[in-house]
Amino acid sequence: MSTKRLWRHFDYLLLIGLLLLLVAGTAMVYSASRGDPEIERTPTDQAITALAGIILILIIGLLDYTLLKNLAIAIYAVIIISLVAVLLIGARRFGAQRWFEFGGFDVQPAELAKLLLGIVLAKFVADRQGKRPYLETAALSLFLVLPCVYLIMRQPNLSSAVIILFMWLAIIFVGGLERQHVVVMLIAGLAMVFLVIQLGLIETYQINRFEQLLGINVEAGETFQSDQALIALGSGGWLGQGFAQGQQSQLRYLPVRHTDFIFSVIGEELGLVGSLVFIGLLMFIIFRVLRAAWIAHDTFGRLLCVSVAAVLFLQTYINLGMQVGLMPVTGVVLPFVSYGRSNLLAAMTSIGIIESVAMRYKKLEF
Amino acid sequence: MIVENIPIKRRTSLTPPPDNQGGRARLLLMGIGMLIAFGLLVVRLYDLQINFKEDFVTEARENSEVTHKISASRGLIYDRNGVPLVRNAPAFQIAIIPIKQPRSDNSIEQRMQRMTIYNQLAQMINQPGVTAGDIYTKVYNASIRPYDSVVVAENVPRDIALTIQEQSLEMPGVVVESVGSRAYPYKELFGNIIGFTGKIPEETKDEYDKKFYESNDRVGLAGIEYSVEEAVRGIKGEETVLVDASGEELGTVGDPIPPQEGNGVRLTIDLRLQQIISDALLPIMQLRNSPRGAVVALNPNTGEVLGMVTVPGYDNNMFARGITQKEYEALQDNIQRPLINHATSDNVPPGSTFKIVTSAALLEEHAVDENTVINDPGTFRIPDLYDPDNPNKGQQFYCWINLSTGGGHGAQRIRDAIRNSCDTFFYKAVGGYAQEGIDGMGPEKLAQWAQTFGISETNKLEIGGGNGFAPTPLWKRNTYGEVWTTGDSYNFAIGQGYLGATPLEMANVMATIANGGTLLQPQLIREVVDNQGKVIQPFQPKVVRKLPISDATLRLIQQSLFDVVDQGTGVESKIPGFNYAGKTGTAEFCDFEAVKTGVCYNGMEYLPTHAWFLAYAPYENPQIALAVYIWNGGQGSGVAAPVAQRILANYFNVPLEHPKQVETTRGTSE
Repeated sequence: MSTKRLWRHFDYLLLIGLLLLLVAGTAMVYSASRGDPEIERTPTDQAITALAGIILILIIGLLDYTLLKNLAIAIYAVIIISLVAVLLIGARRFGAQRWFEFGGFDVQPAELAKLLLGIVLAKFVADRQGKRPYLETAALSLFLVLPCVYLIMRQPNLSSAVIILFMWLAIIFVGGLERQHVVVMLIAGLAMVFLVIQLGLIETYQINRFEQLLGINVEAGETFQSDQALIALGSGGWLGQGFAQGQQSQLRYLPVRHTDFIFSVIGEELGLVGSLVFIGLLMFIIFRVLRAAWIAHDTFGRLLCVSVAAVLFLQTYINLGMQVGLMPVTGVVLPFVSYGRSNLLAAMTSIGIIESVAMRYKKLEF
Repeated sequence: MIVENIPIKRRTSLTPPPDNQGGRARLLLMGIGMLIAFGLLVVRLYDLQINFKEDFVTEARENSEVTHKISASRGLIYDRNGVPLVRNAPAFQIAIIPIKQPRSDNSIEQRMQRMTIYNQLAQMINQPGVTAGDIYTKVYNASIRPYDSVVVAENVPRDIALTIQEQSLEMPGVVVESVGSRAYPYKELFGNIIGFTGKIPEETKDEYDKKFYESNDRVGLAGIEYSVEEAVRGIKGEETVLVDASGEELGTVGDPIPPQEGNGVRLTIDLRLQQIISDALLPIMQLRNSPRGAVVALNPNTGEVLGMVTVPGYDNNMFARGITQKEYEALQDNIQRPLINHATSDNVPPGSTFKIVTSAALLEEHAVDENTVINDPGTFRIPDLYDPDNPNKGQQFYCWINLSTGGGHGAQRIRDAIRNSCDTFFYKAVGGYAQEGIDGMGPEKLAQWAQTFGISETNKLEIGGGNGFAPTPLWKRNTYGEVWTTGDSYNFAIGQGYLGATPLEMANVMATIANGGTLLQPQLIREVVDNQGKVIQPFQPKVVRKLPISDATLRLIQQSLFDVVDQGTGVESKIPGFNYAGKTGTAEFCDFEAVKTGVCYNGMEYLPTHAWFLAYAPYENPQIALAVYIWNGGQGSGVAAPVAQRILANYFNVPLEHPKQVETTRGTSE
């Protein structure tokens, strides 16, 4: 089998969009971190990681994604074990136990779950397709998801739990949900929310963050971060104050500006136009992923793509929503743009999987 | 090829997923949902970045642009000839900017780090009330505004401030601030006149806030410094600086508005005369062991205060640099009250110097004329009202001369009576003496004339002060419920009894006689000049009133006062070759301070006396009117007159080969 034919269907547009976003993102990380000795190395780190990520995409693209099917059980075991392990022996930071540290390299099992649980779910749904009643498939697949969600909530890490639930929902939806199922799903969903609250899995600070968003029960200084982000973003205007010229960003009034709040730097320095370019690139990437789902050869591939699109979309949306004051403040980073080596590698790995799906697209040509 | 070895598999199944069409429809739905969601985001972004842009730009500016006031240097105070009497000298204070202190996630560690700095700082400052604990409390209490500096020690000596400045790198958050303070090179000589500047008092903070003062500003709190505050404060400049999140200043934004220096104030005081007065007064007071005294010199033609010395004074530098509790208590505990300007505020009997006023009243009210003769037997008795023939009843009165040499002045006209300071003449002329058919002018008219001469009128000097008091029978009845007696009139006539006057008032009486009958408002501020030296508020004499007094009367009094120095009670303080007029006064007193210090006690045979001397000079063309007052100084002629003699000789550069020796023993002459 010639690899030449494989490359013919490689999604170059996706790669180009991604490259543009990576270059622009790294430039903004540079702008956000310049002059601050503590984070001065981050743009270089980010660039090197991105290069490694490109290579990773190419390698993963060459591998047949269907092989992942065979690994599904092992993958699920790794996810569960690592989620349990992090609760037992993980590093504790800012009041949450989410991390493993591997020599300066942070690994979050929750991130691993976001990346890999899609494989397990896609296989589960795809395998049962046409053989079992769909509602049963949907219900059973939930039992694969719930342990992960529970363990993640225990860290606590509400946003990752929500993202994983959303990913499950997307897979179930695209996987074959009929109109008559929607009511059942809604009831089940409400019951779940009720259960989560009743079980006390929601921490007080999480409720606080929602209250802050809605502007109730706010103590002075509590909303400092999001206030500063809004000021930065809002003062951008059409074209912004210029690259590396943002008053809020450069004078460091903006907290964690090179990671969580990088979009506020973009808004302040590049204005609405620059912000729309970034949002456009992110949307482009997400829609290229959906395109891969569209043309996917089999249900497994399609659902795999859907899971990646769902995760990328919700991460982007939560992050941007937080900075425009529509979502509570969480630690969700902006994919491909925020500084963070493991996050970037994970996101690029998922793009590699997408390329693998896209490359194996076959038109009905004989 | 290596790639060939990787298990690459191309899917070959020809059967598409059974639900391919339905899946695509749901994919499409999902995509549309995402588009709508992103659309919402973009709308929100547009709202924030375009519609509300200005609000956020303003907020960003408020974050990072801090506008500082630039202090204006305070206008100086000069003597009448332009010699500066004050200097602007920065005072140093140590402050802490809370946000710049070391921070740590571990609160115990953070506190330890800060306490180490506070300890080091307290040790270097070494002032009472500045311990590490005090600093901690102050900084803790101010933590709501972490960017504003908290002053932890004021008036830190320059060398200590510089050392702290050098080491401030090792003590993050510690800053040395300089504030515009004053230095007063002439100390006590001008202390009570110039006053001092200091911190804005807590209780008047609101008033100063309204006038845009800031907490580190120094303002005039007493004396001239207080009264000219508006003129000398200047106009502050402004600069906007860019500040980063850690509070670091990164540079100025735009052009700063430079501050405008305050205007200068020229006093009417002549520094040379002030020193001459001090040099004449202090040694003589010391000789007489007098703790308190004052000299006022006026320009009789304008009302300008040419000199004003009050003893004891205080070193106003103590206040400018921040007075210690101990120093302040020492000033408060001094019974002679150094913080009081005795020249403007001592309301004391003026004694025989008041006879000038009495004479003017008698002549203008036609109670006597220049030829009226009244006999002074030295001593005489006012018979008892109900038992006039009993020699053991009634009240015996003495002229001072009877107590010193026996006998009396004999027949006296008013000119003789002034020259000799004959008490009996004024007793009888004011209080009346029925045995000799003298009705007497009465005390009401005398009180009125005292007021006409400015005694007991509200003090309007720029630095404030007190005023004297002219009694009336009505006042006595209202106050003590007692009838005014002939004896009261007698005492009033010679400047004793209930009458009180300040040295400044008495100097002004003399000035009024010297200038031909115009009472002028004494003034200490000559003019206000801007920093280019241009006069923006010129001097203007203020006439209080033209006295209803005839030229003949004035002439007579002037001649009599000339006689006093030429051949009368002041003759020993004559300046050869220099004509001047004067009047001695020896005023009995027994006030609170005297009782307290044992100078006066119950059953004393002779009361202690203030030594007074009024003068104006030169006689032909008066340039200066003087009042010398020495508390418990003894005689006017023996103690106060020599002071005036030395002052005038020095001021007019007349050689004085044999200055009058000061009487060191207690005498009974005028």
